[in-house]
Amino acid sequence: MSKVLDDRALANNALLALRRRPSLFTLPDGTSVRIPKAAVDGLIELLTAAAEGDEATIVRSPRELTTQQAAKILNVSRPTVVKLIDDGVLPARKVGSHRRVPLTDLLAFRQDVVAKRRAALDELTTDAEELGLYD
Amino acid sequence: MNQPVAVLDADVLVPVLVCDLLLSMFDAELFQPAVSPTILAEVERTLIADFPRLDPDGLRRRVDAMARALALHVHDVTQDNDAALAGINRKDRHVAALALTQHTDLVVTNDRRLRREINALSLPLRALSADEFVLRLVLDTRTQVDDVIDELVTKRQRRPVTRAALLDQLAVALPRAIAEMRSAD
Repeated sequence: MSKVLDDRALANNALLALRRRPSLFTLPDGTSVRIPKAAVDGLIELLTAAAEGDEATIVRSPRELTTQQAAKILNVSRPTVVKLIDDGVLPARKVGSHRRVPLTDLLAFRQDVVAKRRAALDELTTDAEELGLYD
Repeated sequence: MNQPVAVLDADVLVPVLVCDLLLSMFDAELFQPAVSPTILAEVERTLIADFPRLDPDGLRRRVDAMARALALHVHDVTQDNDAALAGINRKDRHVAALALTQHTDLVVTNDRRLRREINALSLPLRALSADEFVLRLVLDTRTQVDDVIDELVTKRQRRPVTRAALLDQLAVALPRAIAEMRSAD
């Protein structure tokens, strides 16, 4: 059997063993380890991909971001993020002298900004049509 | 590729189709813009002067919508850069000053004199015409620019336009950029 088929069979066997999503695992030396549900879910995703012959990548989503990371997600400059935080528009907490922005708050803020921007852009087109600016 | 950060001068936001294209390319996150209340006020004044037969309130609404679309990218000029910008004519100095305040790489302006003055400065700042800027985006992100054009066509509900007709109209202001787009069609 090829290595790929071997891996798929191993993944299928492991998926069978994990079908009840256990949280307690026993290591070969007899030690028991409790694993968080999110990690078990992730392991099942990885095994499902392997069983189907796909590749899986783990993407880490930090719960908090630096102002530079937040700026990249918002497509703005870092000083703009700092101003949004200082103005109380964007929630953040201080870690030493650095600010950290919760990912969920940032994504909600981004969604709001994008929705308002799209509405304004649609308005620009509609108004230009009404005004006869495209004629 | 690093996303360009560019100050948009008033004269590239006044022509309706170029403005639509630039703002839609910003919405597609092909670049990060910067404007100031001074630039937007100039857009408003110019629109009202260029379209004397149109309702000025309608044109003001247009600039208000631009300001809302650009929301987080409307910045005051907070630094006095007079010494660094001595080579720029006084009337347009605020445009280059905004670029320095916001640490942008580019100024997009159709004003030849301003471009020449900015490009003569010994600063890491380049001035491009709207055509040169869009050409650069086409060369770097052709597929996304294509999608932006398609979206602009789709948006025109009341006065429909075909893709070919829109490209023809844009080619008047952006000849090199549109020629480059067509070369791949």
